Amino acid sequence: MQQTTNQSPPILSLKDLSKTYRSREGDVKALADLSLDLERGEIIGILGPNGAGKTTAVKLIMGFIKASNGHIIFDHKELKAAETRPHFGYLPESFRPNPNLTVSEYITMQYNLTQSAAVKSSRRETGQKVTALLNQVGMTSFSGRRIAKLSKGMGQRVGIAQAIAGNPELLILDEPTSGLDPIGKSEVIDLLLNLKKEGKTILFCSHILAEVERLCDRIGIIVGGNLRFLGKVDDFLAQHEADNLDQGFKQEVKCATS
Amino acid sequence: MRHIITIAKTTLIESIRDRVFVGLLFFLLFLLGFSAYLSTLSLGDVARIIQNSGMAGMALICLLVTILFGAFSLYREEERNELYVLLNRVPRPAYILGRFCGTAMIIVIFSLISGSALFLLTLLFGGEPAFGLIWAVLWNICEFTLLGGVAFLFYAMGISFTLNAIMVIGIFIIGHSMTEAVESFIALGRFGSPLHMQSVKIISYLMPNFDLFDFRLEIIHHEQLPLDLVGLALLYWMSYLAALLTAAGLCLKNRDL
Repeated sequence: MQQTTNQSPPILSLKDLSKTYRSREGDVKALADLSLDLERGEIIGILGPNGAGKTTAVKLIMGFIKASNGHIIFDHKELKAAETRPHFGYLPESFRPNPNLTVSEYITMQYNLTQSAAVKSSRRETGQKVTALLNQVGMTSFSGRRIAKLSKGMGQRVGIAQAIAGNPELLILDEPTSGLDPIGKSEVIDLLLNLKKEGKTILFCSHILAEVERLCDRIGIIVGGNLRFLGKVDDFLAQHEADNLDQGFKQEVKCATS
Repeated sequence: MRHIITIAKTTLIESIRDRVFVGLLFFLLFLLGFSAYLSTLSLGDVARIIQNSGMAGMALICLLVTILFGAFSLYREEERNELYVLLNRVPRPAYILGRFCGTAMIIVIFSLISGSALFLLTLLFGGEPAFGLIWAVLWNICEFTLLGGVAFLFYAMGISFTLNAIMVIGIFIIGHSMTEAVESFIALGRFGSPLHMQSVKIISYLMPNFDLFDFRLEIIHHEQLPLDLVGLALLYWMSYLAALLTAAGLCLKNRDL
């Protein structure tokens, strides 16, 4: 497992990232001056109540929306909006893969999209890669099944498999356990723990505190578009003199909204 | 290019497996069967009636294909949040082009099935092979790929699906009545100076002018297609489609998703 070191340069840096939406009622600041560094091999959890700005932050990082202000730097290179992010694996919130394809067809399609024009892998090589990906998420026995016939938990496994296709350096997962039953949630968490063991860097958004506590090296708490805390769970608990994350988080939200 | 081919292939596979595809195929066969039945009731030229009503059926089906497989599939992909996963890996203009190529292939499939079925019906009921139907298939493909391009542009502009579908149907109707409307106004002498008249004619080509692809009469009456008009129609189709897809790619690139 890769250790988190503060000496090595961060894999991803967000500097004063802001997003303001204009509307007839006036400007709405969805995210204000978000700055954070993501170290290689760490899992950082972005926490916040609904509408806090977590998904806006993710969409800004992924380039789906243009930032009103700020910079996103990945591996010393500034990223622009609307550009592809081939080094990122992404799983959006409430993701549903194409129901008319089989699991294997879908992952093959996603794997092919991650390959650059210069690298031409044979059908056999692609097949082997796809089998390995499905094996990694425990879906080998379902490879020929149509996605429409899968349960939500299995669909989410397919989502994670597509995110890790092409071996990305950074994984960005937006609410990967939303809408899943407890078993499905536990399966996804185990998968993420395995990815952590493999040394993947993961930025992970959630409002489910138990899973964040179990998974993350550091947490960031966003309330009302502002980053209220960034650091280790233990530091957060000590700062709020709380016994658990749930208690501390409630205090933080109360403090931010009062 | 690899991205475009992958997206186009996926669009084709997912559409063929969609229940709507089978439904439309049955509806097409029903329409063609109905046109054959109509021809038996008339005293006129059976082959002509089959071809005329069959081509109208083919146009109706392709309009539905354009809306359901062209426009609707894009919105569905966005609703499933799958669009974000794809756009993480595929440049936005390439995504539009790939999706468009996939939709165009479905239009080609439906046009070929309709054309072949019409050919067989004309042969069976009219007793003569209608080779001119190859042209009907070609013009049908040109017309509906162009209309598909319009639907893609509206999607890229961020217009909702319902409004997109209404506007596509509206443009289909307007595109088929533009020449007639302009000619009627000219005949009535409503456009003062010749310059004014000329500019109105040019404007009528800015809105997709589907009358350019309408060679139905020539096909049914086995007449030679005027080569100058065929050339003009193909040139118009290519340049208009290229402009539509470029605009759609640029719009999607500059839009917040």
